[in-house]
Amino acid sequence: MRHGLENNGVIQDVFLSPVPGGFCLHANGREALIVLEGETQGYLALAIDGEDCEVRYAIAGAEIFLHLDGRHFHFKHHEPVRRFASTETGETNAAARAPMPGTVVRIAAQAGAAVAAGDAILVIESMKLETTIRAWRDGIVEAVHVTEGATFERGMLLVSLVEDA
Amino acid sequence: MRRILSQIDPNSAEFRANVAHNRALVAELRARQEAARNLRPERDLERLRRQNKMFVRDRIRALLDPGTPFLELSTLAAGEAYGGEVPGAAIVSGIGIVSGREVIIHADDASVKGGAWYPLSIKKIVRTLDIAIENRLPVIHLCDSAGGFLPLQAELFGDRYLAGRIFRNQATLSKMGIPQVAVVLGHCTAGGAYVPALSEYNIIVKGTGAIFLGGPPLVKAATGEEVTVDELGGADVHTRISGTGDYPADNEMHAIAIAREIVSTFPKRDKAILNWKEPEPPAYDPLELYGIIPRDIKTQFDMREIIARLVDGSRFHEYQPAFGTTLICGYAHIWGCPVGILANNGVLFNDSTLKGTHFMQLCDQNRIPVLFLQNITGFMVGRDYEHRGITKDGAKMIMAVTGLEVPKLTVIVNGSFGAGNYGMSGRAFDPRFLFMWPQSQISVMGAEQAAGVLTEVKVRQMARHGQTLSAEDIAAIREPILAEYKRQSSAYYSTSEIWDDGILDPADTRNALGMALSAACNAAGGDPRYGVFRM
Amino acid sequence: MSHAIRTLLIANRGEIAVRIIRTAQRLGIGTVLVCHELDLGSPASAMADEIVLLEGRTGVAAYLDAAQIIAAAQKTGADAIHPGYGFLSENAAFARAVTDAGLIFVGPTADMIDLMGDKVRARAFAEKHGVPVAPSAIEDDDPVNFVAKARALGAPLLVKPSAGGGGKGMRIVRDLAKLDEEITQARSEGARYFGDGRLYVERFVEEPRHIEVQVFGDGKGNVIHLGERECSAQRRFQKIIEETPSPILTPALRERICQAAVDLARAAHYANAGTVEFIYGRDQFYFLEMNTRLQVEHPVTEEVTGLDLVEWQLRIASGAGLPLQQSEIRTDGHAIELRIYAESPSRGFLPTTGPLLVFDPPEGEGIRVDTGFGQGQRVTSAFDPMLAKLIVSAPNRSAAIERACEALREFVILGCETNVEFLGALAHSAAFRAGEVHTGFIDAHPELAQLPVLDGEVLMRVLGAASMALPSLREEAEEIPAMHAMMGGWRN
Repeated sequence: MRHGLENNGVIQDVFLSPVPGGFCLHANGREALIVLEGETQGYLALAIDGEDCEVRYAIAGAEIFLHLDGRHFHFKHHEPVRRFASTETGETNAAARAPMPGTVVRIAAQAGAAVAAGDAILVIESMKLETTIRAWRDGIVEAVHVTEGATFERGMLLVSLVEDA
Repeated sequence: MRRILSQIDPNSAEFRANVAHNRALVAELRARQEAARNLRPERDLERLRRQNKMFVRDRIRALLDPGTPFLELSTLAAGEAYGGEVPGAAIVSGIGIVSGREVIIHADDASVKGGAWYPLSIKKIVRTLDIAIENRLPVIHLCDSAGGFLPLQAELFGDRYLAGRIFRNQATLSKMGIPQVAVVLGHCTAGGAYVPALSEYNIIVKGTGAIFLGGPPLVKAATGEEVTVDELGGADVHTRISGTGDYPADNEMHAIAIAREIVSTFPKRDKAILNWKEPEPPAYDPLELYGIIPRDIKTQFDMREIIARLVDGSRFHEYQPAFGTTLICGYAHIWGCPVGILANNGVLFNDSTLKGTHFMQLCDQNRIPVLFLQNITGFMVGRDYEHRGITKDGAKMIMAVTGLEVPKLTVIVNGSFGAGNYGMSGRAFDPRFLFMWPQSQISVMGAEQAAGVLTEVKVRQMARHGQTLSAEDIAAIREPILAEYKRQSSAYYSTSEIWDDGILDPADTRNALGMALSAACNAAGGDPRYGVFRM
Repeated sequence: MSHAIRTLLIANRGEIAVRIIRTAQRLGIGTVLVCHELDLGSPASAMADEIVLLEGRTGVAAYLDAAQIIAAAQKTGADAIHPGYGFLSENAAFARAVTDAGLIFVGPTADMIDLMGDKVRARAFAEKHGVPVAPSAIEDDDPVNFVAKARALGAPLLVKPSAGGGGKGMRIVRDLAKLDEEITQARSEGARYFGDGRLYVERFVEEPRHIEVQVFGDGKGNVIHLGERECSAQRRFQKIIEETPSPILTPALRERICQAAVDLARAAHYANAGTVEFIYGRDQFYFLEMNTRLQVEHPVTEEVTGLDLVEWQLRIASGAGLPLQQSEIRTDGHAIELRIYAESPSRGFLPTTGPLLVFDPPEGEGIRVDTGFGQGQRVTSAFDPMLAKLIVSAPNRSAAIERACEALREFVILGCETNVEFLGALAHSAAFRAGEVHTGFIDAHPELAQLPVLDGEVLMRVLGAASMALPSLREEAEEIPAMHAMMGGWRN
């Protein structure tokens, strides 16, 4: 299964397999022989299908920036598992349910509020531990189904999100 | 190690006639394999698409590391059974590399009868897991089966090596410390539910995968309860509530990516058999095998020519070259792995039988795998030989084969008849892998011989009732018997019944053996319990 | 009055702050830099002898805060303030406040800034002193008939805000039916951006070339010029590539234009550095405006003359006369400046941001890089997105273009998208090499901004490089057992 390298909205599948003396690149339905001739921090000296290639690169999180053949390139790296996970999973991801019985400590985002993935929506307390329920994706808070101070059972609906239209 | 010096003339008429004949056989093999692998009624493929399911081979391609080999086993299982409607027995099985680890894959083929398990499907799965156990290979199950094929349930349920053996094998693998990953891509119902349940790790695809002992119709019939597939045993139920499932996956590619990541956590174990060298291609072109294999099974040829086109550098150290010359014994390497080779160059006499027995013990002492290249019509018969104890000597050989601790591999190069099959490690003697060639034949005795015997019996039976038969009558009796005999002794029949692990293009044998040896060398076997008896 | 400058306060940031500090250091002058907290850690802040933190609601607001800046100078005992370019450099009130505070303003007098800052006044002044101006309609002169006069000039027209400058807020009108609408919009933009909705309209020269002349005056009526620069490679009136000498001017025309610039500056008793800008087309040239400050593109003049213009500014500001006479000015060779911006040409030149994970300018003979950035800094949207100026010089124009293309290919900037490749395409284009680029050329050729499609061999090389750079791919490859790797994708 291949890693994804995304550039300008197009995701290329790439994979390396070892061959005597180097690696074989599997990409774009083709193969190319890569020989590593030298490397230091942020620098690679390669021979790709026999042609020399000097590369400067920098990686920040999932972004990889490259300079070779006098040009700059930028890819977003999609590593295999996350790449194939779906972001639109429909109704099953529309709501958050209480993981265990507890009390609502504080509501941080009201119905109608726009939230970004990771924003706090409400804080619950159970067994002397506070947990923050955060937005699992960008969207609008459709409804908060509990009020501050309310107690709830496990599995009860806490908050639902809709996609930003 | 000295190189075998080939004596054949690639330009001779004989050679060229063989080439034409064998290439045609290989073309037929490839055509049959292609059909068994990929030819499906459009409605079955359409159904898969509607269900949002990938074709089994696309799943396997996504699972395997790109640029790595895949040794598919028993492609043509059930090829001569069930009216030819269950290609591959609706199972794809094979050894490949996933996340750098050697694994064996059992994949249900839902494009064939919904992936239903026929008796031969069960046999193929059990065989796959037996290979896993004997060679200590982790298993990846791609589960997508409609369950047991009920009309033939009597042939797949009650006995020792039938359906239950799948789960017994899974539990045994676990006990041995060999992990399994199950990817639930369809419904795992009743017995099938145990495949993921008995796997160390399992992944369920939301929406299409489900695990339950009884599906909604059965539940409704049993207790009146009405429940949907997802509520009963879908991904959410098993990964959040019951704990039967480990990983929910959003879609098949996601599930396969998770499976690969799981396999990447398996420790890599060293091979039990070491002393591997740097591989070297044979000095002679493996394609020349097509010119060496004779067109008629009765034609003799020198097995050294076969060996020269299988082993590294065509280098072969022959043991006792002057003694027992109808059995060739010697050491070589295949893809760098040291092997001992026994290969038939005629009928087995007392001396060749004893030489083989002795040599097998040497291989055990050396702790190297043994490769049997079969082309055997049987042991020598006749008064002289009986008086010299040919039966006793045959027994010694069978004792040695059975007692070998090192892994055995067998390739039926041409004929495999009668007790010769036993002494040369036929299926019953647990070679780790057994392969056939397209023209191979396997039966109690040769077809002509057998047909002759049976016709003779029939004629005498009719004579007792006062009937005499003309030559045409006799031919009319003999021909069907001969035809049926030939059909049942062909490689295609054997492979359909899963008496072997697949028919190989002779030119592919070297790679297949390389992969088989790599797998086999994960489990070395115990220590031999005696020194070497000079036979 | 001669007053040597001992300590200079630099009221600016980025590359020009570095530029000024560099010359100040060479001359043994102490440096004080006013600095918003966003610029702490910049190369300029590291070079200055002293830093005074500026407060502001935004970064830009801080550098426009005249009171804070003057207070900083007084607090640190600076004798002079250099305003750089942009910000307060052409703000007459600021220049006045600086001199009122007893400090030296490195630049012309407030009156000169006033005169040239009002484009309509400047234009009238130029015309009065014999500098050619384009046929025009000035709103101030005759507001009632302004639009009718504009229409009478005939299309195409250029509508400009009186209080504008630097190419901002201008619009070309080719269809006279739209003139009223364009004028209304230009007026509201002028009010919004420059606080002044007055306009003037000139006949637009087709395929115009932008020619400007660097002048220096001593404030006593002595003015010399240091040659011209051509800045026709523009996008939406913003300069992208500048060069000297201009490839299009004949020696006679060069002489006339430079003389016209000197005449204008002399008539204004101009002091310190200034640039007179002209539009040239079809053998005609017209006065555009005069910028009463050091220009961004001054380095190309420095490269061909071998002079340090910031040094000249400081000398003149301290009361010394012009360092050289006109006859002593020599120019040699050709110089080109290319402005490197944090923007995405292929996405409509959208400004880009990001960390400068690698910022590695090219080096070598004839290559100079003026920048206010260093590796490890972040490019944000707080200030204007110019990352660096690449200045190349060579014995002749085609050698300079070669050198520019090569230097661009060697400039490694990783972490933030830039226009480096676009600049290379532009410099390499047939039109540029032939010296035929006019100010509308780039806007008329959007295909220059498009990146070549990544395909075939190039794609494989790039994917190969990326795959080898990402650790996980090689690690996974190395997991594959040797024998199976050798067998490759074999199937039975």
